[in-house]
Amino acid sequence: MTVAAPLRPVARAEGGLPARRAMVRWAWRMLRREWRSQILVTLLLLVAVAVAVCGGTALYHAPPPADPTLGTARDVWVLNGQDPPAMTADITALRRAYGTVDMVGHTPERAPGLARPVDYRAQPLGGTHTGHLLAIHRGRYPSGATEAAVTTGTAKLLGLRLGGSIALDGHPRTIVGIAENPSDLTDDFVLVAPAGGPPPRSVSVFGDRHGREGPRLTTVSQRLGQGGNTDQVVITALVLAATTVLLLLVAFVAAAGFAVLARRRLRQLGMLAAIGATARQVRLVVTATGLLVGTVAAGVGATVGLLFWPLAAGRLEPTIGHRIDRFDLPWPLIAAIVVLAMAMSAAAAWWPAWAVSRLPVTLALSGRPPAPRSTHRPAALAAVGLAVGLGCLATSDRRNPILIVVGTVATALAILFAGPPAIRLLAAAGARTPVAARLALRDLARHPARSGAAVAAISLALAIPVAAVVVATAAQATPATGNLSDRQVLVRIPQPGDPPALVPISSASRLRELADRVGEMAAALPASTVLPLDLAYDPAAPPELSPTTGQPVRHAQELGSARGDSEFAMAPAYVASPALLRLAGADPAAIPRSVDVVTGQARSLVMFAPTRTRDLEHPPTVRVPGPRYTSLPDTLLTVGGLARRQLVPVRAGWLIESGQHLTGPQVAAARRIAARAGLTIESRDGQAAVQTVRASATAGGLVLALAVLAMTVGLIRSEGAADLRTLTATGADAGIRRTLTAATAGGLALLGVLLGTFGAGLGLVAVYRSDLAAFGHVPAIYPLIFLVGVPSAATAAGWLLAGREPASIARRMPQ
Amino acid sequence: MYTEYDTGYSPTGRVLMSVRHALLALLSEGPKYGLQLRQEFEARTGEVWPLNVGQVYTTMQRLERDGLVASDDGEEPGPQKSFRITPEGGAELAAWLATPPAADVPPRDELVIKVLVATRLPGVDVIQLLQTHRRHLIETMSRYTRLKEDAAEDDLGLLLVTDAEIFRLEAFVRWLDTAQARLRHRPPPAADPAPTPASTLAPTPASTRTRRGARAGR
Amino acid sequence: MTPVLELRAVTKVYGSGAVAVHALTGVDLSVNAGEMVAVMGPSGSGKSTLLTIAGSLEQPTTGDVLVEGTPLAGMSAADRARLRRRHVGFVFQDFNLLPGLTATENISLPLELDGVRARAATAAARRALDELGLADRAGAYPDELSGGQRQRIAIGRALVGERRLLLADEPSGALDTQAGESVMRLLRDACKRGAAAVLATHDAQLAAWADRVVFVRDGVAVDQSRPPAGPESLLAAGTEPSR
Repeated sequence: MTVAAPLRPVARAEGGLPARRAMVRWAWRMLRREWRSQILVTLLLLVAVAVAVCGGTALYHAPPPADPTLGTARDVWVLNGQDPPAMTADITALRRAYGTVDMVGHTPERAPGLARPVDYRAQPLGGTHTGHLLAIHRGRYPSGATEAAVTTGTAKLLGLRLGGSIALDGHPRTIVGIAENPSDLTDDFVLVAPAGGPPPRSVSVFGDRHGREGPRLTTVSQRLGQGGNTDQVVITALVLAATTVLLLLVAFVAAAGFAVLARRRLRQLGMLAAIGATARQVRLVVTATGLLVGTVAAGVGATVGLLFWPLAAGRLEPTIGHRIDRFDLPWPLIAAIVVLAMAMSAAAAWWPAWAVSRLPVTLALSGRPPAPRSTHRPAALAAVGLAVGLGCLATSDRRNPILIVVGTVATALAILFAGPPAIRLLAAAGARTPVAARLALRDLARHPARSGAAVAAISLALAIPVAAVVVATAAQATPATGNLSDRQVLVRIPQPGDPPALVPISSASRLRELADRVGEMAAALPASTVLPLDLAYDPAAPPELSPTTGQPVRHAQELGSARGDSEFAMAPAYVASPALLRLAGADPAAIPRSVDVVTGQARSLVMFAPTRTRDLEHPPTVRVPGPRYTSLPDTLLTVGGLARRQLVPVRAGWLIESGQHLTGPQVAAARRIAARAGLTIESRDGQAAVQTVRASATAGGLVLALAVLAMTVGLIRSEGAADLRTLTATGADAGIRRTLTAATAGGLALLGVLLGTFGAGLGLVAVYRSDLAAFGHVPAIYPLIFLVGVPSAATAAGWLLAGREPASIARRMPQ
Repeated sequence: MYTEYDTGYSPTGRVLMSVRHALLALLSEGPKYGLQLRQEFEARTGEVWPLNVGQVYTTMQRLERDGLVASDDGEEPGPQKSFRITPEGGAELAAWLATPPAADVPPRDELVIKVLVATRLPGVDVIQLLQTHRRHLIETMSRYTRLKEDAAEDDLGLLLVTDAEIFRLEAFVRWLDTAQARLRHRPPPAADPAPTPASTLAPTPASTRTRRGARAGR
Repeated sequence: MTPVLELRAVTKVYGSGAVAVHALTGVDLSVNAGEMVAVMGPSGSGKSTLLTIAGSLEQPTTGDVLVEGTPLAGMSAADRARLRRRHVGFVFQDFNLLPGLTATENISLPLELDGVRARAATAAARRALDELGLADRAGAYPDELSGGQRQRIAIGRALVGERRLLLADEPSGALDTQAGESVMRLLRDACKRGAAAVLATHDAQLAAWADRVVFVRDGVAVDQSRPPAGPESLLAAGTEPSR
């Protein structure tokens, strides 16, 4: 103690790194000593991070790693194998022009009893561009001319097994392996070694032009290309956005927890200030606690999430139809989630830290709580937020995404700020209740920091499912929207997996047979009509080959809408008939003869005329309202346009319309007939999905809200443990204790439910102000569950779980 | 104008009553000369209670007369005369040690009487009087505390005596505090308590001073 | 010689208007290096307020506070915090040490807050523990220490570094007499080595340890005692009747 030493010249007000280290060290020690008080917040954060990591990784893997047809190649040429020397020359030319190319040979072979031919595929393992398109699931890769591998689907279709034999092309081959297309588990084929298979009918050459002009090819029948894949970026952004919302919810609970912590350490923090810690250093202690809790929770949560990921991946694969590489983890996404969780936790602690550091030191040292703040400002903020939010939502008209986002955020903030004033009101309303309930409600009002945060978290947790229920109901539902009406069945000839513009070339007898099958489907339906659907093709263009089956196909005329600089989204146009025009909302008589295209699309359409010129062309177009159902043709080529462009119609499918609602068995029967004939059908979908979304959103929201509620009630009641001891000492029985906890839980739940439901409800009314009927379609059980069920469940749970005698009546909270 | 102050809580009077027994106690350790007795007595009580030689010899003569001590030979009283304790003396000492002090007799304390008188007299600022006494008591306590502070750790006698004095003085300070609290609720009979002049404070060596502030509302 | 602490006509009023509470009214106080001053008064007399104002935890309504000759008026909060780190040590009655930090870390905390590297701060704290006679308790946490040990460590922390102003509020109030005495001896030792100490107490025994006692009633310093003369005065008082 060199007390007589001269004073050091004053240098800096803050202690720099050593001081920060000392503060963080103390925060860590306290966390280790009092980890029980933080266990709820930590667990909540941990679960949120684990869910975000596991779910985010799953979503990241939802799109296949490679296009199921194109692989990772940007360009695929389908070469016609009818003239092998010419094809070989083309391959050589492509290889010379673009370096590394992969080749996959296709030979369609008819199989007895199957409408669709089986693809004999000559494909090497591990190609540069096709590596994601072939894997050996079991057994081994076939070698030589006497071995083959089949996919599970093919094996099932043909009754094959490993070690068996297949001879669809006339050459018996031993099945030595089970193959699959990892990017598309529904892709069925027979795998043969490139040199050992039948002569390929077509060869797909995978390469990358890098934008260069290609060599002149003689056998090319089709070129496919893909733009840059932005799915992962979009998914990452979506996951991060969802994680932010989830963590925001957790952060409000955490803020309440940290406020309690700061309150408990008030004297210690005052002592720290008396020793000479600056306000910033005092803040650092509390913020560091938040950061440490966040770090622990994020670290453990991420680990738990990654541990669960392989389990989740196994369940995911059959659903999403492609293999998932379990070790291909989106590390940047996981890192972002972890950092986000840490930042959220630190931010949640920052607010109580700030409040404590502003407290006079003497007040902090005495351990007296600060006087409750006025609740007028939050009320005003809530009103302003609600006004802005509803205004934005109402003007957005369900279209402007910026207005929708701003409106949603403002409404959510309004819900948050409405918490403290609502608690005040509740306490005032409960002034005449019995003493235990009155005490509980007044306790809530006396500590608006923690109860306000609790109400905010609960109301947000409930507002989200409320919004989901209404939006899902509105999106569903009306019989006037959806893919098809509940009386329609769409039958298609193009193969699934092929672009819709590729129509298999069918003989007249085959077409007749297909038409018979469709007639058979229609006959099973009461008072049904059948509407043939035709595409149109240029007879001057040579036939092409299907990339999936290798069958010869006609490439129908397509119309493109600009997507980027020189990229177009192409879609085939159906040939207009009066019935189709009426379906598209057009009056057949009102269409001028000079018009080529009738469309319901808003964007301007272009047309390529492949054989005659490579130029773009803007055909004369008429805009119509478009069909009410999304799967009905919305772009039609007029008969006049067909004639002017010398296009020939080709049958592509039929639309069957029943006189009554289709039943499940009717749809199933139609599907059976279609499968036998090698056709695909589409019927109205989405009902089940909407119900699932509604139910799962409700269940998830309820679980989340009740979990948040349980934790906050636990926190608040643990803080009131001293009161409880005093009460018990003065003779309060278990009934009083039960009432206390039940009133706390019920009060919080009631406020959260009211704020969440009405906040979300008002926002939704603003959004659907022109279509308020949507609210009427919400089943009555949902508002009942939210408005009555949650508060009742909370009150009952509080009543049941409380009532235990406090462990030690005399013992006070340790200093 | 500082004056040494004796309210009757000076130790002198009461100590004399037990010098007899203190000397007996010293002799119980073995025969001692008169001078030696005085020196040891003072050493054991930390020189708080000084004793003059005459006091020692007077006491010893009385003890000898009572048969509680015996001198070695028939020498004249003087520094060289050696005393020893008799069995009767030992019995007397043991009986005295076990006799409880007369604590149940209320001491007619001078300070208490002074304050009682002051409360009856008009025109006397009793609060000021209490403070004056309090200050003097604390100053005396400070001196004892300093004595204790400077005492050697093994000087048990001195430590015990200073403790005793400090506790005794503290009791008076606490009584003064309680008296002041009681007076607070019962205003003095004087209708017009004239503002008392501020006590003049002697400048301390550190040249610090305390200024009396205005006593609002008094 | 500049006093270590100087209060000039310090007045503290809480609240305003009809509900105003005059905690201190026109208090002057000057404490030199090596001096221990006790501020004595019943609870609610304003002695604790005096201490918190002297230690810059609160600002006076009017009047000046000077620590080591530097006026506190107009200092920013950060500057006042630095002043507390470097010049002022507080010892409170019952709650002084931060739980979760060992004895050593509690003592080194002000140094670390001031930017001294952990190693140097720990070394200084160990030296202080040696002087306190608590070297064997260096790694103990506050809840493993006795009340007396805790207060001694608090005093060690209050004086670690270059600090010379020690503000103690009932430092031995919660201790038994023996432990209280050892705490007061420690304070006296610190003063002998050059520290200045202000001791707020209602306890005459504690106040008697001081060089001077300032009596506070209702926020006003009403009186003060003379520094004690040597023990000779006691002998004089004992041997002959006082005048």
